[in-house]
Amino acid sequence: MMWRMDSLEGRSGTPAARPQIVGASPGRPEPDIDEAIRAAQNGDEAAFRVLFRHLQPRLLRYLTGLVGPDAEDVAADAWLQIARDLGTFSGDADKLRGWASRIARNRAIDHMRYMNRRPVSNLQIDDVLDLVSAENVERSALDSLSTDKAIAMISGLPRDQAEAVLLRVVMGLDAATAAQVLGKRPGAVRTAAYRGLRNLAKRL
Amino acid sequence: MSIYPRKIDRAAAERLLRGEPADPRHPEDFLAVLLAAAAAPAHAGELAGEEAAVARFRQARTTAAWRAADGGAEAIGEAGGLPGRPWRARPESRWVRHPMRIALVALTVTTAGGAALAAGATPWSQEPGDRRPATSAGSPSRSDEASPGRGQGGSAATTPRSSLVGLCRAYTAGAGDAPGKALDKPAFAALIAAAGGKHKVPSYCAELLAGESKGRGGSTQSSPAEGTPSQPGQSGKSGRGSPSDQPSPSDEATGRPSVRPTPTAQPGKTIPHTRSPETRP
Repeated sequence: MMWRMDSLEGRSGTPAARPQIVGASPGRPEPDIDEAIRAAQNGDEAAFRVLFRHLQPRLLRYLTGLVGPDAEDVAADAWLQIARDLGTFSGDADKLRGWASRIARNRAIDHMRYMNRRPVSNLQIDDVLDLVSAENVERSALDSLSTDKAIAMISGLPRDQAEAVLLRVVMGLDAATAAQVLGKRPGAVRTAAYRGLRNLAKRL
Repeated sequence: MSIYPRKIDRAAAERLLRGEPADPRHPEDFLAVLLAAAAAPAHAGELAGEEAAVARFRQARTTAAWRAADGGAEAIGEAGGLPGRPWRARPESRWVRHPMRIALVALTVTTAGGAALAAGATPWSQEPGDRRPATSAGSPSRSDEASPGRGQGGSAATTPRSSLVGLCRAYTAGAGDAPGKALDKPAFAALIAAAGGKHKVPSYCAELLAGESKGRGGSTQSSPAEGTPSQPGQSGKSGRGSPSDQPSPSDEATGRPSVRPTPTAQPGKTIPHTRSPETRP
């Protein structure tokens, strides 16, 4: 079977005038992903690749907010578990993103314990913030705002705000699912995300 | 251009979080651009781990059936010691509800017997609640080679005899540890059926394995000590490992609060889910 790949795939380096939103679409039906989940659960490797391409960029960006440059290592740990437990997963694309987020988050927490340190040095992020501020939010600067910079800026928020924003915007979760991933009430996650946005606006 | 420092109200924030401009009259809203960049399409580097993940998937296909049959497939909620309720309320029921799946599991399980054994695993080495990567981290290449059904619907390619041999090895290797209980694992249902009853399994396996080792020139007997996932502390440890997967009392005592990002979370609290289980496809 031929799988139509997720919109995240195959666009690498496309100089879009306005980046395409790929994360935020909770609730919208995603029949391709739903179908790929079922096929992958039956052992279909191509379907698993569809899921990987759907999830991995999101996971990496979310994890960057948690563990910074170690995101790739932690994502690899997460995939170990995702691949192993996919057969027992039940749900649609939305649920899958929530499930994968939770796995990634748990692996990130393991990682932080292992490293015995706090997540993400803010030094690096402050540098990025200075850089972006120096551009005085010019239109051209905004258009060329890279994903990495955007993630770094969000990651520079207080931890709970950064996570709430990343789960909503990058992982594409609704407030309730994000709340489940974080083990919080949806209201708390909404508030954290709003505060995060206000802080981002303030910083620029 | 930027409409800030105008205050962002909740409705505007919600629009932004959904990927829309906070105010349709200001499509160049800085925050919207920032969030769009954060959610931009993947760049090549982000998909670098694909082949590694696929390799894990191949190898997990065999062991996944074990886990499902073992009832080890519970929610991820408790993994990593996070508070919160399990991700899925009814993890096993789904398998029970689909007779075809059970048949598939049975088939795959017989396949997995050989593969898991070849990888040095014993099927009872994982406790039901064990979330560790088990055999997967230890020996990717070995179990990969041993995986009989690599293509789509791999279980169809099962050769029952070799699968039974695998199950027998699994049973024989583990009978010493828990003679009575080993056969209670659902994974052994196929073996019990083939032997014609639980009590006949030992003699059946003795015969089968004797024939097998003669046929192959022997020495393929796998040793449970090889890469044993059953030994706490070393099981499923990938290169860097994941500390919280191991029983570590000091972790409980000290490590958690400082790194726990959600100190306000309440473990016992039930969080309503957005959609009911009935809406699942």
